[in-house]
Amino acid sequence: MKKLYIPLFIAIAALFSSCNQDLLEIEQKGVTSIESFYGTEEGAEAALAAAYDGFCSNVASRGPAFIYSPYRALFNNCGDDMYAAGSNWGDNDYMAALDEFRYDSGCEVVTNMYKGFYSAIYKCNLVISYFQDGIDGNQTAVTKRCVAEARVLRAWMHMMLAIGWGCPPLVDQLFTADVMPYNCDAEENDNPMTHEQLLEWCAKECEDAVPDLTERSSTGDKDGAVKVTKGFANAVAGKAYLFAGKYNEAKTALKKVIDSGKYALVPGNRFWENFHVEGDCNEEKVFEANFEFNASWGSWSSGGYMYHTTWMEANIWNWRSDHFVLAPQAVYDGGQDGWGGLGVPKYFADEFLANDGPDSYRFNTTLINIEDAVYGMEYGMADIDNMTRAEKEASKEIGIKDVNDGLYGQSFYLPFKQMVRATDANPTWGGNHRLNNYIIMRYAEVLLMYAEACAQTSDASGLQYLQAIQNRAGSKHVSSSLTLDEVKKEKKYEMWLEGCRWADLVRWGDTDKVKQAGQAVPSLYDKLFRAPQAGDQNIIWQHGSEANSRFYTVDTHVAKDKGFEVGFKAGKHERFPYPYDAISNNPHLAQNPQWNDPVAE
Amino acid sequence: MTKHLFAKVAAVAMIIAGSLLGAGVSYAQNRAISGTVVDASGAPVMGAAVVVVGNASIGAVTDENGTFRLNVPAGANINVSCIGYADQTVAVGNQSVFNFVLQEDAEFLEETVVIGYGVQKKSDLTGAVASVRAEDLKDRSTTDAAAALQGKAAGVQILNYSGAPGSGAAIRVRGYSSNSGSIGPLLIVDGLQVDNIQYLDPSMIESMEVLKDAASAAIYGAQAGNGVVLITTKTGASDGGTAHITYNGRFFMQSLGKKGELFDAQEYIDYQKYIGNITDEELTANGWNMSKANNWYDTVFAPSWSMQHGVTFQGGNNKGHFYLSLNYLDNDGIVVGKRDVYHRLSAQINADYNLFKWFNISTSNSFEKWDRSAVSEGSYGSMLNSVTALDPLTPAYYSRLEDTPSTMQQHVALGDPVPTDPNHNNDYYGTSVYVQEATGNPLFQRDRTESSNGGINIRGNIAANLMPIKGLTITSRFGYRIAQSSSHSYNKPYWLTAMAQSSAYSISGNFNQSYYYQWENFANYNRTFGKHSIGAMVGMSYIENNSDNASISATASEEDGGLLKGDAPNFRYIDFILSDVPKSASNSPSRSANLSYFGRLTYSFDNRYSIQANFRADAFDSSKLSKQARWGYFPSVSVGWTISNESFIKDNIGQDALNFLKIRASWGRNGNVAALSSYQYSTTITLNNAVYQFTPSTGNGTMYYGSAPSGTANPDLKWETAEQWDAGLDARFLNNRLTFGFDWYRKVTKDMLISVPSVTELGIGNMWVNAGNVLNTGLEFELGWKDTIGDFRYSINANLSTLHNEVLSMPENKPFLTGGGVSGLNNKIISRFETGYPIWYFYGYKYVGVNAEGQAQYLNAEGNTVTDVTDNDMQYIGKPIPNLTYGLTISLAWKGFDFSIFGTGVSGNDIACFLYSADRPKSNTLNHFWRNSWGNPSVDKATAKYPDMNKVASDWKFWSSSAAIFDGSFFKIKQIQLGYTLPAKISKKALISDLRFFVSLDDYFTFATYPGTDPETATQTGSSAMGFDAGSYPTTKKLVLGVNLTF
Repeated sequence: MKKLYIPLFIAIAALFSSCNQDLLEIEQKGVTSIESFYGTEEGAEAALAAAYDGFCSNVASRGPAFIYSPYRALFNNCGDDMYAAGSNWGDNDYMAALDEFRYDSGCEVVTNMYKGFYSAIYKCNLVISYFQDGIDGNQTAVTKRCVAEARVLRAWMHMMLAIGWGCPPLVDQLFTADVMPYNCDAEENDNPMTHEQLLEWCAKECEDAVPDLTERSSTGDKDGAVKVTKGFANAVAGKAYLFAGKYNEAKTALKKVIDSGKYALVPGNRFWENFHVEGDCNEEKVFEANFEFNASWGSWSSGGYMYHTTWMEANIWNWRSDHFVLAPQAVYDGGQDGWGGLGVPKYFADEFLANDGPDSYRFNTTLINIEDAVYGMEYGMADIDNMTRAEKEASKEIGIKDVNDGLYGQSFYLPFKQMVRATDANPTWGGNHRLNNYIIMRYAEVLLMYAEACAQTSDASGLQYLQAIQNRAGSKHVSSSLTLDEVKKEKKYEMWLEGCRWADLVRWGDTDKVKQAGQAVPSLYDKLFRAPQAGDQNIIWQHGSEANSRFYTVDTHVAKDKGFEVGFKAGKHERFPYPYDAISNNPHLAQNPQWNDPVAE
Repeated sequence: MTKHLFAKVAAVAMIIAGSLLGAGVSYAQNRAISGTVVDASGAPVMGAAVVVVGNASIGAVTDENGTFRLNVPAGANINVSCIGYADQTVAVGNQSVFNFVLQEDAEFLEETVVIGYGVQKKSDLTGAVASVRAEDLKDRSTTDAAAALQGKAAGVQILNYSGAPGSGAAIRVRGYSSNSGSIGPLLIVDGLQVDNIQYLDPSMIESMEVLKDAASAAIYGAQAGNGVVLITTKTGASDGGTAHITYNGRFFMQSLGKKGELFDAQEYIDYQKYIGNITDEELTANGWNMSKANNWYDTVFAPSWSMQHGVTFQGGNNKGHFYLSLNYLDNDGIVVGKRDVYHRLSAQINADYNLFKWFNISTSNSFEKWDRSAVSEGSYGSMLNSVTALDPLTPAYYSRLEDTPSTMQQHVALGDPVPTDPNHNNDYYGTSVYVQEATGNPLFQRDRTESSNGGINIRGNIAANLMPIKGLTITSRFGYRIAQSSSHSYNKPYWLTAMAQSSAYSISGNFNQSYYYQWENFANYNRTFGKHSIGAMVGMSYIENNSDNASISATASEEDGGLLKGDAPNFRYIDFILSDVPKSASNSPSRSANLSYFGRLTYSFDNRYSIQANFRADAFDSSKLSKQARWGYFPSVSVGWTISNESFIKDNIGQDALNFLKIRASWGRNGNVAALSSYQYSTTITLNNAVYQFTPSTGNGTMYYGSAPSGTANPDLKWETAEQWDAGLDARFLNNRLTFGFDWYRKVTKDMLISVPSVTELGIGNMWVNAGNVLNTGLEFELGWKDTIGDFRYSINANLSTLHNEVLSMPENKPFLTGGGVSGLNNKIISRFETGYPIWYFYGYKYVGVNAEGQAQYLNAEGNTVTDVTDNDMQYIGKPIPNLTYGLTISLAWKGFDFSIFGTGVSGNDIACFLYSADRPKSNTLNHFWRNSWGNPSVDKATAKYPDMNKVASDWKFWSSSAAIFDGSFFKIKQIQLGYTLPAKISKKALISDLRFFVSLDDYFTFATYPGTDPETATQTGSSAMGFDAGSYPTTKKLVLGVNLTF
């Protein structure tokens, strides 16, 4: 009898195990198959939204695994019109290494910008490759528009890659995972392109896309400022031609933007708005990435607000408030204090002021005198705000208290254009999430590029646009003739900190100042807290003498003292290095000249 | 053998039954005899039955001193028997005092060892199995089963990431095998797979077996690649079936153990003045005087009392056993206040019963209720990081607003919510005028969040054994786990410093529940035919895990209209969120399953030659593996040769020289499936997880959703595979007083799961592949000595294991992985996983000393000494994995006193010290660098170890160099315990059979050169962040007072 248990047991076990392979089938939640997704117009719209999301996440916002917007960090810090400043030398070194030209191919900013561009290009290629032939071979207005918008975004990114790296690989389609692209000029390509030819390819992509794009309906059309339109496509084409030295083609493309009548310079008294949330989508914006609050957004999750704000820009570029006794900007920026990572060279401020005059809307939006900051800004504390100017000038309740570094990397004018205003951030997310839109193309740049293209071709018709910029700025200097020098100066002031200066000075060969980078970085001191000391180098008093000045600067060159090689080196620094990561992943990628990578063992 | 066992148990049971009935007290011609029973080593044998031959109702059981008293009829023979020993029978004659020395029974020479779906005599083992018995655990005053293993077995390393109450220890068996975080062993308690063993109080444990080699672990197949820990909880079987009630109580005073050697106020000022960061003028302006000096360690930590109570009821007879243990732990950590506490109430209920000779059932169940609150540690911005980073000039509190930093006054004026401490006179939390710290003040970080976290776990199994024919046992076992947990938190806006502030209110509630079950059916057949012993086992298992969770949270600021309907504490629940505040919610039930078949064959000949083979086939569900890669097969084989049973040994070497000698070898293959996560092998479109806002608006922007592929598919993905060779030796000498064990192993983990990036320009993200091999190889030694000198008994046990860990290969397009580093601290040292190096080694600049100018000198990539290095010169500068792990236990006993000392240590590992951030040179840090630096007036420049601090205080490269790497070796005396057991004749008067008091010093002495806090916890959680010290909760030292009471 007992022996019956054995077959019984085996039978039970067999029964159990025979059915349970199905128990291993568990359906994945929240996903759909690639085949079904890319087969509808809704799919095209959703793929395009993902491309814009990819653009925000990887280019306009924090980028892959990086805290600051790499675009702003990379395309501004090498310029001759700013210092990477901070609490002291060594602070904010990501940026300072760029500023002093002591970075290498492992530089995070370079790496993340490069990766960011190609990650966003992939999202564009998903739209283009899956929908360029329409759905089942039938193109519709929707598929055509979606593909066109993605092509222009992709073209802009290739243009910036070309500007930054020279001859980066052209990725104009979805590749399978085993493909290792070559630099665009490599002869292994079917159609090798020089740097200039790559820029022209970008321009042509935009021109080809224009017929399928929508036009901004009017200067008041806000939707038309946050997506790719005919206006943006023409502006990118113009910029790409300009950088390729094709000035006539540039003029043609840029003129289309001007002639469309859909864009205008805001009046001078509203110039400041361009850089704050109040100016989002205004008449001057050709394209900007739209950043908006939505309370339902998570922070770090995919599509979270970390990827749709400029996280930590406020931290990195607002003033270093803990080096002041009291933060002069506390009321203005709603208490969002910073790390003081942005400094203004004295020569730049002096030249800018001499050009624009003290009443210029533009100058006063862009920079602020240290005295106006310390004595003029509202502190929110009645006993201080009610002091007379004379009382403030003698008061140790305000001023720069730090005795060691003062304000490292600053001279007598502090940067103001970038300062976050209280309204630029939503308090729920905190002040370090900047919500005003991320400008990719402003009409002023279009006008200045057009003026340059005219100047380059001795065409005086561009003068009116240069003058329009100057008049709007409230500058005391208005050009009487169109010369390249006039355009250069104007663009330097107008487009400060908007990712233009560095690329322009490389293109123009105006690299004299950056060769001196790292030789003399000023620190701004307050004599009430720190008297000049023996050994201070190049003491400059704000008003000429200790007797009539409270603030003075002293120069340092810490990096040089530490034995770093500093300063722009011709033949090397015109191009960013290909990131070490990219080089080690892709043996087909040739490094730019003089960027010596560690030998791959 | 079983028959003998029952006979012995029955003998004891009869005696007890007899004494309960009052029998055996009134025989006429009785004479009194007494004596002791000891084993071969002279240790008393407790629970031995001394009975009159032919009249089993007359007998006694030896007490804990091995003594017995008995009245016997004249001319009787008495028999002494005890489980594990050979019986002895003597005639009483005229003798009245008997001293028996029992020899260990060959059959019971050693305990059986649990090996997975069965048991095996330890002498028959052919694999490498470390066994830790209840005796080894009983005096450990730790509350976590994993921690109790520390230092007890060679090849088993216990990692304590934190000393905070309720933080569990992690186990590593034979090294570190993968780049994934899931490299802990499979944990099985009474046959049930569990996710942690923190709930198990060590006092409930009968034995812990660690299956170290692949051959032993192979029976668990795809999940056994990192070893297996098998735990058996107690049954009522011990003590020959005697019923007992036991109470264990412990009171422990915890205090801060090893402190980091930080600057005190004066030295901080001297240092800061030297590097030019502070002037006397500034100090005067800030109203500084020495009376304001603040030691943050003293401010934040204070001794605290905690307690633990356990009551156990156990009983049994030859039909069945019963065991019930209740345990309560109240652990209040050393952070001032009640923000770091852990409470655990647990019960273990075990029972078994032989219904028929051919059928028995058993069950074991545990219930656990826990709650915990914790302070943040181990990262930038954590409370414990700021304890070391805040300068000693900043007070803990300011009682007057005018004393606070001017910026705080400004923000009070601006109407910002500057917090005060209601439990400290409503004083303002002290913030520094010198250092911008992300936390502002550690005490505020302690108080900032209101949170609660707790839950209930029920775990258990029910098994039935059918024994239809001789040697065959068919087992069906159903195991289950039910878990429920919830957490709530609430945060308010605050402004403390520019870096420590928030304008948002936030609230969240999370609820998790899961149920798990496993059903296993297996049959064991064991028979001996003459000199041939055979064993066979075959079985199957199905496991299913279901979980469900919900989380609701909301965030809003005052400017947006606030978050809750009221601010009082009784409104701080999800129910009272204002209706127009958007809430985010999540819920997604999940299920996972796996199915396995397994078997084992053993054969041994004449107790001399043994061979064992294991096989397992595993299939995992489609969330882990694709259908085509679902099944995996895991074979193993092991052999043993018991040389001591060979006649040429037996005949030539006496028992007092060599008792046992066996050599063994094994090979096996296991897997690691824990590294696989959901649907890594497939590529799909993740719907609507991208967003753009095409229509600008104010307030809540309109969302347009987008979708994109999740990555790149690799349908061939499978688990990681570990193959391991093992060779070992077990020996006992000198009447079993000296024991020695040795193992060598070589384990190669293959097919490691690596997320490989696409070529950057393709922009398609990463793809999971099986590539890359890791080697772990080492030697393990265990040595024990026990002896008795008169009343004095002592034993020494030591173990030591070596480890060589190396990444053998990586995929071509992913030559290395980068891991930890501590974000926010601006240090460039990261961990790397790279061919030719130990896993997750430290990668940074190589500091080689100081030059005549006081500058730091480094070794660059070309091997030249230079003063400047670039990122390309970064290299290997240390590793977090020790070469050596060892433990030492010494136990002494004399009359009623017992004393034990137990220590454990590691060596060869490094710590990357992140207790400094070069961009905040005014933060406090270890004084070590300054005290050994060029330029310090008291240091000879010629022998200075570190450069001029003036030159490197704000230099990232110096602080990201090997100068910040310290030797992490330590030896820690985990426990020194002195106990006293009241003589039985006194305690028996109060019906107490055993009463022991003890005092113990736990984790009191640490020997280390690391100038930071506790080197043991100087790490972050997770393998790729091992050895990064960013300020963690140190192991506390504990003074323990305890009592063990048995009725």
